Amino acid sequence: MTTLIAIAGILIAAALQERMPTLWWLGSVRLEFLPALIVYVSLTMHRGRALALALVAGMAQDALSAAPFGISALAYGIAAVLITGLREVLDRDLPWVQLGSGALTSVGAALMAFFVVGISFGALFKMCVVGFLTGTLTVMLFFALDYSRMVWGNA
Amino acid sequence: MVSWVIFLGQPTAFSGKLRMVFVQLGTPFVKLGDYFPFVQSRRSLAKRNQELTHENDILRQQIQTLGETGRENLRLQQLLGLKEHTSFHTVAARVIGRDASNWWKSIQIDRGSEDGVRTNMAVLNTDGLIGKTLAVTRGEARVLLLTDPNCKVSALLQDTREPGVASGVEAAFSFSPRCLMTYVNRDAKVKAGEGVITSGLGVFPKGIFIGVVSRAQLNKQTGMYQDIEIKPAVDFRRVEEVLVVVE
Repeated sequence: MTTLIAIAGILIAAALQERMPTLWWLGSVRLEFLPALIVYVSLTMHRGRALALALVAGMAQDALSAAPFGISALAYGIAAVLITGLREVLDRDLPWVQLGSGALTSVGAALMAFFVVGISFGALFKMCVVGFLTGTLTVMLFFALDYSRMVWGNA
Repeated sequence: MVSWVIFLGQPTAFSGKLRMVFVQLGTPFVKLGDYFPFVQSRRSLAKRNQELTHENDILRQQIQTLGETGRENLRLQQLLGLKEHTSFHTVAARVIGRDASNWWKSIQIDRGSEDGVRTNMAVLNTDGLIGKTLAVTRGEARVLLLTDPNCKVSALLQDTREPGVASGVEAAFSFSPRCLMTYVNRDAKVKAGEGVITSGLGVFPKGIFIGVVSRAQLNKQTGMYQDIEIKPAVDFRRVEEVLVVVE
């Protein structure tokens, strides 16, 4: 049941990511919700389930994008494996851990994309902006989801 | 890692079907966005109204001028015995989504294979070229935008008639999207403001307006040809309806 809810959440987040207008005043940057979700499931669920959800999230993003199919799934899969492996070291309740994990997951996906689209100073700067925004979103998502779980209980 | 990218990234039957499954799963959620339209302020609507009124005046003047030019063109064609210019057969589509990633530039439209849309079909609107169809399902299609580095268009400069290849500039930090036309003859006298159209080679029919030249410079690496910066005619942020050239 939890996995089905998580998959539905991932599909909604992917659709929201696609539908939201870009922040043109910030260089046409798009807010990314999926890396934040992946960090959340990686720091909350078992490794196998977190990895499966990360792959679903990556494929959902690639299906709603012009990206080569599977490239984001690979990036998010690696992020899920790394984060679940470091769970003993990372304190999931610390905001800077959440911010850093979200930012690094977003940066990892961007670096994977650079294999295809190429790299430039502009792209690197955009990667930093997107990373910071995703990190901030991750902190907000942790607060919202942890609060929801506290109120409604663990489904 | 590399084998994964090669395996899933290539247009194989398996990766294609898997992609279609995820598109079909995600599209209902994308369409849900129609029920939450973004509310615009009265001030921005008034400004937009003023812009459109001004644009309407200019277009009326252009229609009168072009009408006369068209009649003259017809007379000359008849005189020369040229084949009558046929217009494109198009299918109108609505934009239902953008690209979910920051690193690629595409849009999703609400027409698919059921409406005659196939991959590699030109997509345009009244302003000019938008891109080409990339992945098509029964009811939806994804359009690769002209501003994406992977979208290559065989282009022609309107005044000098010099050919070249137009494509999007890398997914960099930008306030306005740009395109670059490469492999243009180094001796060509290119001026800012000159129009750029499709040449008719490849998937795009001839004569679709791409944009105007904003800057021309010799290629820094080889010095063998010119690189021309193009300001696209289409405002990609505001594209809501498009036409797919199906024939």
